[in-house]
Amino acid sequence: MHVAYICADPGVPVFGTKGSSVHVQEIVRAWRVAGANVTVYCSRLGTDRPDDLDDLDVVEVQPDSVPGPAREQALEDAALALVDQVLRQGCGLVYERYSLFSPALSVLARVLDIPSVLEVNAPLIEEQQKYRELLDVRKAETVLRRNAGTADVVACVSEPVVRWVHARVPRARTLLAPNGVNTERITARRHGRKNPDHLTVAFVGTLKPWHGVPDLLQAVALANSTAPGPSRRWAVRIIGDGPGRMELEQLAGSLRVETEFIGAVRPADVPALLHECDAAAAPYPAEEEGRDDYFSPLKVYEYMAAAMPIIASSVGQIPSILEDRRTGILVPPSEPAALAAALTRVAGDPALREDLGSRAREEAEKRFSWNGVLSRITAALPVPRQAAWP
Amino acid sequence: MSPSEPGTAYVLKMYPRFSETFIVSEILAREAAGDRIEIFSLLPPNDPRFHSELARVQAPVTYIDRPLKTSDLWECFHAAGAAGLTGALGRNFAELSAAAPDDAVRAINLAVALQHRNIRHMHVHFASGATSVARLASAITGIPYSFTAHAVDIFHDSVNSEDLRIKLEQAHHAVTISHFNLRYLRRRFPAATARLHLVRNGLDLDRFPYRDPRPLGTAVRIAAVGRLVEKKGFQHLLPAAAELLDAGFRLDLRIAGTGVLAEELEATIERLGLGDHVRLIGAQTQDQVHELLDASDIFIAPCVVAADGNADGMPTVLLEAMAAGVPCISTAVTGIPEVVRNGSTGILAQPANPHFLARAIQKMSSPGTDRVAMTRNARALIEQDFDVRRQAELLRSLALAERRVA
Repeated sequence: MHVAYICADPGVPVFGTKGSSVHVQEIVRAWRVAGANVTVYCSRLGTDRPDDLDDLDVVEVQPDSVPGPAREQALEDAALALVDQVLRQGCGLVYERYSLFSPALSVLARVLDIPSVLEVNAPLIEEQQKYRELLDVRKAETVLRRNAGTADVVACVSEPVVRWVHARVPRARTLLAPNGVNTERITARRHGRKNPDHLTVAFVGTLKPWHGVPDLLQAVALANSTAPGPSRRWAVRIIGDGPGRMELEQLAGSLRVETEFIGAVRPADVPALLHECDAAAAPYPAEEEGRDDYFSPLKVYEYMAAAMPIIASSVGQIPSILEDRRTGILVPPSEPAALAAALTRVAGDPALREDLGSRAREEAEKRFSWNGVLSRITAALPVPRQAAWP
Repeated sequence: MSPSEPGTAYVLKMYPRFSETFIVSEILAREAAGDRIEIFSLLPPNDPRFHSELARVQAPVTYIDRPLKTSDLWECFHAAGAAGLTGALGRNFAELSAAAPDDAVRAINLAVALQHRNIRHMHVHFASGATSVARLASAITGIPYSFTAHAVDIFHDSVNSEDLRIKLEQAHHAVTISHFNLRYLRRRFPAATARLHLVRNGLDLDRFPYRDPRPLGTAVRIAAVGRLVEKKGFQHLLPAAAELLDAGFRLDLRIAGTGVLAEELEATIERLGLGDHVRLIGAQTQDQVHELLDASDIFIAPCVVAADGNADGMPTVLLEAMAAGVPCISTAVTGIPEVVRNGSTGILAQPANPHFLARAIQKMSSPGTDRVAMTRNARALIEQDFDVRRQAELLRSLALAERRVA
């Protein structure tokens, strides 16, 4: 089977280090594991091609760099130029990562009469309006309506994304397909504590307000204030960078919490950095009124694959991923005292740490591998029709 | 029609031309809609065969000749002077002298012919030579021009980018016949395509009544129609036929048309031993093409992109076959996938691949394929997107529209 993977969003380089780039690569790998022959058609190639994707066929058409509304038109034109390439080469299935101005899926699925998957990771129309600029809203809406209405499966990363797609395209055939993790790339940590004189809790992610890192620092300060001895005290390792870094450095200093800011690293370097820690945290704050947490927390899956004991806020998708006290410890969001209690408990119970970690790893392999994510999507496809070309 | 009505000039490289039936359909539809048309042809016809529709065209034809001797050239200048164009020629001398000599002189002659004819607008088919002449004549006379870009005139290696850009920029507007072309031209000339529109070639649907395909007999009858040139892809169809015959599939293939590859194709037929099943039947009139389609179970247009970049835009006979209810097979070349949607309005195959063509023919002939559903979908698509009356209205309204500043 020949799969055309389309990523017409120049903000998502196929060979980049962003989470979205990793996502593209992992789905491509999963297709290859499933036996498909994949060609990626993209608007931005990127420069960090992983060794195992050395032989991947990639067709790049860069949009013209023009300002304003012409830019949005150029994005559509580039996507259609990719369509022309797919038509020349043929394919048996089209898989498109949803982007604002690419009508590729709706054109290809109709012309070639092949199965199609649209992957939706975020409500891009609102996201673009809120954080960037969206000029031709009507075109963006038409593109979504056509693509989601045409696709045999609209794979949505979370329940809020499913609702968003349905609100705009009621007849869309949606499927909930949360993110996954590559359990081969992210290996399990070895048992045992890493340092005799303190424990380390890790955080991976961009330093933005909606990741709740200040709560983590507060909680660590609280937990350390009641620790029976230095060996039960926590230090913090922050893997990632972002606009909140300076404030966090000040906060850590004023709380006297020993904190190591690693900065941004390549995805390949994350596992080893996690392996040197004793636990990992996902301290998401409470949802605000009217805000839907639509993301699927990639970091939680990564912690699981690395066999970390995980302490996470019980918000959004997390309760459906972690089972409290079996594969992780769930705490109410935005409550540093509760988070501190969880840290204290984990610090005092080495056996609990090992159990949580190994069960999380097991669960990641069983339920959250990218191969599993893809096979749920392909299971929802109609009986394979003829491939183009006949 | 009174000549006092401002008219539209159709500037054509050669009129009538046997293979360009879409131009005749377009002119007839515009006349039916009330447009006064005059035809200006740069070359006399070189083919004695005519389609019967030609007789219905009311537009007078003026042939724009070019001088063979210097003294005749001077006659042209005298005529231009007599027509009051001396000043205009002077103002455009630099442009004229930079142009190809034949184009420049024809442009002067066209300008003279257009004087006192009450022509408001010129429309040209093909962005190549005829548009060069019309552009220069427009500069001399001030009559705006528009053109339809098809395929050979934009994809061929010999197309000069700068020349095409200037034509697009100076035209009142331009049209092209597929989304593919539209995208291609917009990408290539982002600053000169603000007034470029999609107007598909039209079909006179009354002339192509639909009927459901008939059940297949013992041998599948396959028709292919087109000039025998590389871009039509017949050289890939012959090995496909051989593969099918070897596999015990019974077929009767007829290829209509003439062209430079005739001998080569004949030789291939002989070499592959296809003589009993495949025939080149030469050029056919419109009526004969009708009969051929009517007697066929499958129509196939195995188009490819030729080595020199030339490719078909949207073969008229493919649209005709789709309108008439013949199950169609074609390839993913330029705009064709916009009409042949695999499994829905026909079967689309990868270009230049005999094996895939063979499988497409097999698939189209298999009992599991719903041929009737496909031909009905195809007819519906043609009615929706290719009705010549609608295209004529579009062309007319574009010519009437105020010129927008790009």
